[in-house]
Amino acid sequence: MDTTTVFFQHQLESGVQVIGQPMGGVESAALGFLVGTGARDEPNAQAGITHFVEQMLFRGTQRRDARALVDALESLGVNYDASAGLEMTLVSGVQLGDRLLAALDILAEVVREPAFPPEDIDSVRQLILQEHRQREDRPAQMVMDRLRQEFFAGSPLSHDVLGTEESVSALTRDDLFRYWEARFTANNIVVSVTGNFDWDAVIERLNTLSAAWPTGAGRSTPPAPEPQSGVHVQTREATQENVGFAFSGVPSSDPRYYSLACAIQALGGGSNSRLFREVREKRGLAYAVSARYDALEKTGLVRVYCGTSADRAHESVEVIQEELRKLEDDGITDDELRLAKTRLKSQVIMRSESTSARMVANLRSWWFENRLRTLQEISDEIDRVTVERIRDIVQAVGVTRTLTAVAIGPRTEEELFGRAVAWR
Amino acid sequence: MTTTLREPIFHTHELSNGLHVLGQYMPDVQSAAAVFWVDTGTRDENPQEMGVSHFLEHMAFKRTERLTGEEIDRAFEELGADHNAATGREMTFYWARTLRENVPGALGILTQLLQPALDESDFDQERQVILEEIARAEDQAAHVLFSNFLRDYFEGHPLALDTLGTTQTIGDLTVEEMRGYWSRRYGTRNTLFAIAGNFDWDGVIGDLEHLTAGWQRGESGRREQPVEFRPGLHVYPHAQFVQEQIAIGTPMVPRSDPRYYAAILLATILGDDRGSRLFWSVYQTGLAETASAESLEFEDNGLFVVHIATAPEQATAAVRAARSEMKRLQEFDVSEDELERAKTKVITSVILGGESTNERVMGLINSWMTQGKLETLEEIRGKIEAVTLADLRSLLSERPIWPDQLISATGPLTEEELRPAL
Repeated sequence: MDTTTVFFQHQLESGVQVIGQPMGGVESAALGFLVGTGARDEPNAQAGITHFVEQMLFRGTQRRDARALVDALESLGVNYDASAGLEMTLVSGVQLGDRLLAALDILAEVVREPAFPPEDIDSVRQLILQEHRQREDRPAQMVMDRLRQEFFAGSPLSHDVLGTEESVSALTRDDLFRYWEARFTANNIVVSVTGNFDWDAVIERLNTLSAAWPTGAGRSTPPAPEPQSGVHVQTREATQENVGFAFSGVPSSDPRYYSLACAIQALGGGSNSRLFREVREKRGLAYAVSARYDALEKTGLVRVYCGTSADRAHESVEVIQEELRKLEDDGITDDELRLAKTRLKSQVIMRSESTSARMVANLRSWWFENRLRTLQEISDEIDRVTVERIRDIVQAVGVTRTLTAVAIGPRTEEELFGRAVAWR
Repeated sequence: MTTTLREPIFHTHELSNGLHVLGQYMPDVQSAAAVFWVDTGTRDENPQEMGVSHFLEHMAFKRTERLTGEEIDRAFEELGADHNAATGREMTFYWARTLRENVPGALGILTQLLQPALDESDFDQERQVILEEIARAEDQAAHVLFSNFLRDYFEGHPLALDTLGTTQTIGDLTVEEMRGYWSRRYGTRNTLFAIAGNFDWDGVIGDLEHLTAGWQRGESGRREQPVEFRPGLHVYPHAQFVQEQIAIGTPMVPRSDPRYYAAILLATILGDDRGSRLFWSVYQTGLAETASAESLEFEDNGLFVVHIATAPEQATAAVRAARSEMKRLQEFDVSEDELERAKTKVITSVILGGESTNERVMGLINSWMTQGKLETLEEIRGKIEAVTLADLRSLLSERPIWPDQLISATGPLTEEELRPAL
């Protein structure tokens, strides 16, 4: 049986959606709860509340305190995790298949019956404030986060998942509880299982578990993107200059998604890419230089990152700008496209070998595109990309037309970008 | 843990040039991960050549006998392969993962990488990239901490050398020195090849026999040297960093030691990232965003390391809390139940790792290097399950984690500010 083509889907009476994909030859089953809420759904005054709630989930439920909860998960060998993002929150567990139902019981409790113990609010707050500071010591991550914040400035898509020091300091237990109550509802939850599991047993158990889960406002309306152009330089003591550029992408539901993905692969996806060759291999200007493309629900974001020595940062900036202009004007060559397709198709297949990677991919696909695709369907979509389509998409997104630049390091704006910050 | 694991399909072979080849066939996946593992790293360098192993690993991608750097990158791309390489204190490896039909192509490139041209003009150009990599590392607080910590812990021992080298040693290094190092260390007696996933074993052996014909045997192994443990406090103030990073180290066992799994379980109990003692008393209480423990093994010695990253104003309290957990563990109050939970965690991660071609290929290497054979996951599970409370207790009495410790700190604080933590 080619297990890559079998999907299950079911909507429980409670409104919870469940998706499943069996995989042969694995002992493990991956389980994930997607909650359709993230930093973009937060009011400004409550920035960071999704992440704060997520950090509270494993602090105890109405049935057991944190220690009993963690002990129960560990005794089962559940490799559990939770994360809050810009557009979704994920609670997951990977375990041997025969532990799946037991893990389901506990993780459902974590999602739907958190206790928000009052005595833990301040210690979690401390940890979040430390996360803010720890990021300061990771300049590459700071540049990536700042790029999104500046590029979407004025839109909820600019929200920092960690919130601000002020908002995190002000959040109360009551705020957390009300946000959780409004957002963690049956019609805003999808459950995904992959690997070694019994679908009927999963549905039966989830039906029982979710019988009393309330319905809420449900899915939120995605904010319209408001891309901004601009240059943001934060001068501070460091050895290297960390520089980044951001421009628009399209959502994964867009038929042009793989065209842009191929273009970004050729631009900065690995050691055969234009940026790697021009910045690192030919000129030795940087150790790390790359481009990544993230699809969001209604838009997308491409980010270029480069960590370069301060003395040669200006040259790196010029080389990257030139590559962006070339991409916008000429797209990519037939040869580059052929290689990008090979690479993307191969990556899709290799990633699908992991139960947890596939569990997350299915959740994203179901939630943002309302579909589940077989590897063959994805491969066919990639094959349909042409150099003409790529030229169309890079011009449609306007690579240098709406471009945000961020730099963190010892140099000033003038040293990095000269006086002419107009791009064209 | 009752699930019975399927019997793995293992292969081993010695090529006519002396190169050992290891394999695990995994019928349910479409990909294979392949690795050339060279038993060489920073500790095998002369101190004035510090960083040559890592620099050489970069040079492998610049030019080989037949391919330019551009052709190498392109060839990997043609195969749709993931690929990478890494260098450590005792190892250098070259790795690729690809779909079954592209395995022969991947072998063709990987074997080329092990025979780099080491051209002088490439060398001068790549030196710039290495200097960029050093500069980048200087901005990463955790990297600076561990570089300082290991240098102090291993003072006088070749393991003290930093993998990246320094701007001085990299600036002074010559291509002749690199060629000499390569001839010495990259022979077939010092190299292993392993592959895990979906591949044709006979085809792999046939291809490798042909592709590696003429490879020299070179030297193997390295000289052992005892480490003299010198407890103390070393503080490196860096105003540039916002958080305080602290490492606490004590001697532990080497990687081939029979007490290896006991050491892993101790680290899990003390400082796994969830549910451990440090998790409850340091992380969960809000004292530090990072509080973890690990057993760091080398060929002939090992160490136990606790890592803390926290806000400077909380550093004293976090270090006190972590050290008091180390003291409590040393005085030994571990229960059967706590040990069982740690075993379940370690065993689960071993079994789940068994589904990944990447993790399996590294497992084959590790098993061959430490046991001289390929261990099944069932055997590994058996070894973990066999560890008793008495084993943990006796390991701690032979390798105490309290009170003598080497503590290293990097961040905004000075020694005067940190000393009260002790």
